[in-house]
Amino acid sequence: MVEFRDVSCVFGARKTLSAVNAALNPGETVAVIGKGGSGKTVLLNIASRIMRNFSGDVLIRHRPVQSYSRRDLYRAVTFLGMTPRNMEETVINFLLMARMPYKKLLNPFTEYDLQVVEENIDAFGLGPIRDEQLGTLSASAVQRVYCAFSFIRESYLLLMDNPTRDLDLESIVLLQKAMARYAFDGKRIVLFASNDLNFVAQTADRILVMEEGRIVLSGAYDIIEPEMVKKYFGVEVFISRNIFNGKPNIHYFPES
Amino acid sequence: MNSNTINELYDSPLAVYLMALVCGGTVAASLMYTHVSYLQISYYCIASLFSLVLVKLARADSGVRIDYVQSGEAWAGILGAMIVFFLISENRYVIFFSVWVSVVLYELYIHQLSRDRSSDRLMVGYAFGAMTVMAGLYLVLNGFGLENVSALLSGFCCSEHHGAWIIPALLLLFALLYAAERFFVHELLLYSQGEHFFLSGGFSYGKMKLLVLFVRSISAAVMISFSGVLAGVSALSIMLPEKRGFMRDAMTVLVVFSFINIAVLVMAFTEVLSVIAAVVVISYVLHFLGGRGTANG
Repeated sequence: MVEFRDVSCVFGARKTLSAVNAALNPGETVAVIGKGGSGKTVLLNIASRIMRNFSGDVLIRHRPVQSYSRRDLYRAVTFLGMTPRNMEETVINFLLMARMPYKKLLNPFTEYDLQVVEENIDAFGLGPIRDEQLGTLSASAVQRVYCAFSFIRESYLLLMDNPTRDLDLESIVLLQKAMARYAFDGKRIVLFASNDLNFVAQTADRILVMEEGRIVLSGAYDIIEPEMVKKYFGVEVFISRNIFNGKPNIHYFPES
Repeated sequence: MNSNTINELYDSPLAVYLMALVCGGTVAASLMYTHVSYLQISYYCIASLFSLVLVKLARADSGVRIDYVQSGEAWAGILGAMIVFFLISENRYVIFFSVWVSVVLYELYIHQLSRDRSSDRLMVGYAFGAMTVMAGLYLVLNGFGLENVSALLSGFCCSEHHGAWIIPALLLLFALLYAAERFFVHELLLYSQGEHFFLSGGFSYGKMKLLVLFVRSISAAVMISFSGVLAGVSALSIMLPEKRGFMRDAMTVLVVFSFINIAVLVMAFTEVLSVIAAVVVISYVLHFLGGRGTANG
């Protein structure tokens, strides 16, 4: 379980999080939505310990996030949102790095490590580019590699900031499938922030709506209603139902 | 011939054998047609080996694809050597120490300033190169001796025979560093991706940064002391696509060693400073040609 208890955060003169309370259960895929600056990314940064300057408690498996050793933290939490510095690395070498929290010094990667990497290479369709350098790939392919990296880590809590950024349609579908598998066995949690309401509606088990650093609404996909979108995003939409699963499809009217 | 074919050829054992023949030829020519001794050739070989360490570190250290001449380390080290040689002591060990300290200070300065951007490093490298040339000119115009400036630029430790014990000691150091790179290759790759990635291995990023700084500065100091700026061709190895393997590493050492020998050979028949200038120009040209090789699609 992951718990946020009265988590607040001040960045400069602005309060970016204000007494956030939330509990995420194993097996859940939870989305955080809200306007830009509502505190979505800050919430993920705090959960991943990238931001340490906050008040309140963040508990992962009933332990404060601050109490984790470096290696244990990276086994427990993975954050998709950090970009690597060395873009001349090959895809396969980069993906292997995701298993480093489990690798013992001077020991090679285990069979299981290699198997997880190969499974995710297949899952994200990275086979043809496995020996390419990251810097030579398209933005969509790079983001797909980053997504695969996050899943290879097999952390208890997977945090993803805007995971569909730069992804093409095929990659979005692959990501949706991977997310569904990840938390399916009830052992892990996915928490992601996104501006793509259609992706959120199709993917998340639960949605947290944030406004000015607070969680103002929480619920399953059926909270996505035209009134809610109008109220928290300032946009008028029409919502239909997906004919396969009954989940909301959001239609925007830019001309209106 | 496309770039893949060239890379395959470059990686093949045949290419390494051919390069070994070329290298042997340049060594033989240097011994036959110049006044270079076996000991001096050994020093150049040591410099070539440590150029491999720098090439490896260039990959681990934020992927900065510039060699020790372009990045300014060579210039900073030679500047330090000039100051000590002309003002304090001609003792080779004292000069070596001054080179090492200069490179360490320079590295600390550049890491604070550049945040690992190659373009910043290049600009600072130009500045330090210009400062070193100005200092050299000043010394020559004030009668300090052209041959001493030339010696500092082409490897002052090779200008006289001293302590042959250095060679096995440095060979041992190189073997240790090379073995460490092979054993900790994944940790180095993780380090090259930045702090957040490196921390995932449970390691201290600060300590690793200091270790890399130490190894890089020692390697640069050895290269500057034993070959001056003559190993600037190591840029060629840095810019080529990296594939790990002993053959690849051997190729890097052979290319640098051959290049140094060719430079020394040419020096015997022409003006020393003009050869040094040509070597520096070649180093920069290689970098600019190689810089076009990577693009973010």
